[in-house]
Amino acid sequence: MLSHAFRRVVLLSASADALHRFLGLLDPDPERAGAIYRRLHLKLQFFFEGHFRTAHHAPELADESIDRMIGKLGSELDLAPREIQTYLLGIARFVLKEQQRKRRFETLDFEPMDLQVPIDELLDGDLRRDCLDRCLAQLPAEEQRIIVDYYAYEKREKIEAHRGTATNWGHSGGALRVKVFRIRRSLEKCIRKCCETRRRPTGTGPGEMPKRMEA
Amino acid sequence: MTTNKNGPLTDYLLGRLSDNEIQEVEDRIFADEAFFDEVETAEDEVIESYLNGELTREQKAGFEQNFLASNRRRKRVEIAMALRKRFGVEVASSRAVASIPRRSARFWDAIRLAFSPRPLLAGAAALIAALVGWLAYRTPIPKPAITSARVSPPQAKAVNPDAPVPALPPVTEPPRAASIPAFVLLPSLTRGSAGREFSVPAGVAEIQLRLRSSIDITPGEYSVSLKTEEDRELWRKDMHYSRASEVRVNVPARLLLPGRYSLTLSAVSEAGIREELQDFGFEVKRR
Repeated sequence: MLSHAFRRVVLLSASADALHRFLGLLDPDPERAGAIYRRLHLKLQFFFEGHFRTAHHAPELADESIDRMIGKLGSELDLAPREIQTYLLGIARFVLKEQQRKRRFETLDFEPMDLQVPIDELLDGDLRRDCLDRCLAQLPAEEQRIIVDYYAYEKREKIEAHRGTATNWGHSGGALRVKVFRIRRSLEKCIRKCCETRRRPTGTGPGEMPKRMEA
Repeated sequence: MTTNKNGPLTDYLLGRLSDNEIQEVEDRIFADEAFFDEVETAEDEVIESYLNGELTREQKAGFEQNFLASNRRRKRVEIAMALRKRFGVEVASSRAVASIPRRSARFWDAIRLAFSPRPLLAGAAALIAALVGWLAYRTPIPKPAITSARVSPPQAKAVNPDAPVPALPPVTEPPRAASIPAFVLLPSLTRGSAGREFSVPAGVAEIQLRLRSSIDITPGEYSVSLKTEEDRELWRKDMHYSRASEVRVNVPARLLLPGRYSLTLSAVSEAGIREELQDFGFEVKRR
């Protein structure tokens, strides 16, 4: 992973213009371009997670795919914005095939020790609890109430409560559930960021904009 | 909109689609923003269904083998579990560990060796390696012992928020060693009495505890709770037991630090009420 990160920095340094051009293709506004970049990165992660052999390295392979695309932009590839996603998918499929070929003989030698981490050790328990409380406190009051109501009931009562709660908040039951999921996703981002910040104050994680390009 | 937990997006997330179907989903993810929103929602639904114990056996296997292969998704599930714990909602038991059959690596080593270029001794090395590989391939790697109790997830219900959240199974392949270490426990005469002593071998993920109860264990719903000497619950497992023989539970080895513990076997009524049947005390010695 270290060599991957180092190679990524070298690549970005060498093709800073291409990266700027790529972001500019996504959107003229840097903030929106960043949001689109993150969404593309997430789509690529979903792509690699959909294939067992690459699921564990999905963030790195997503980076790799974007890097290759940026590299091609550096060699005068011209793409309309609507073509970017299709082209990126093509690159991702190529990267996937490479990984599948590479891992054909590696899989059985692959020592899965790094996959044996129990799920509650991926995020430190105390840190997670603390960050969870902080992030819950940062939610708007309405969203806090929705989350509390969603989790505070027993399964059977929850179904009835959703109907009651949905009526109170003016949403249909299905829309309430989706709203809860969206709130939870924003909580997840907050918790992850909180945990990472408190563990590692500086640095760029997978899927994040390279800091130097955010300025 | 809610995602049908038996729909194609669920199957996609659980790794149950054909290659062509996967490709169709992937094409749409990159072409249709609204569709990607649906996929993200389906991911939330699948996590919720898993934690509620609503997935079928095959879906649960797909979740544990495929969905949890990604660290990003595992963290999502972890946070969802933490939220449930925070608000006192129980997580359905998820103790069944999906094991991925693994062929002997030595077989593939032999194949590679046979085909790699080597001067002078290429032929002899290939022949010897192929023979070793053939012998290795014929020798099956023993699978770890599997508990005879079939896990049936209970209904989610509100519980003490301080109750421990059971850990999700690690994404792992069965160890090369023969089986999970197993120890037989006998009922304690009094609560808190030390009972049997054993050491937890280093490097094992689970310990199987076999409860030799002095009372008849008839088929039905049971619960096993691991507690410290101070009566603090560390871990619990609900199970459906179908055979009239000793109860076997696999306990995460990392919970068993040196000290005294008790395992409480309870019967669970249809109303969800637990009736304690017997305690099994034991002591873990230094590894």
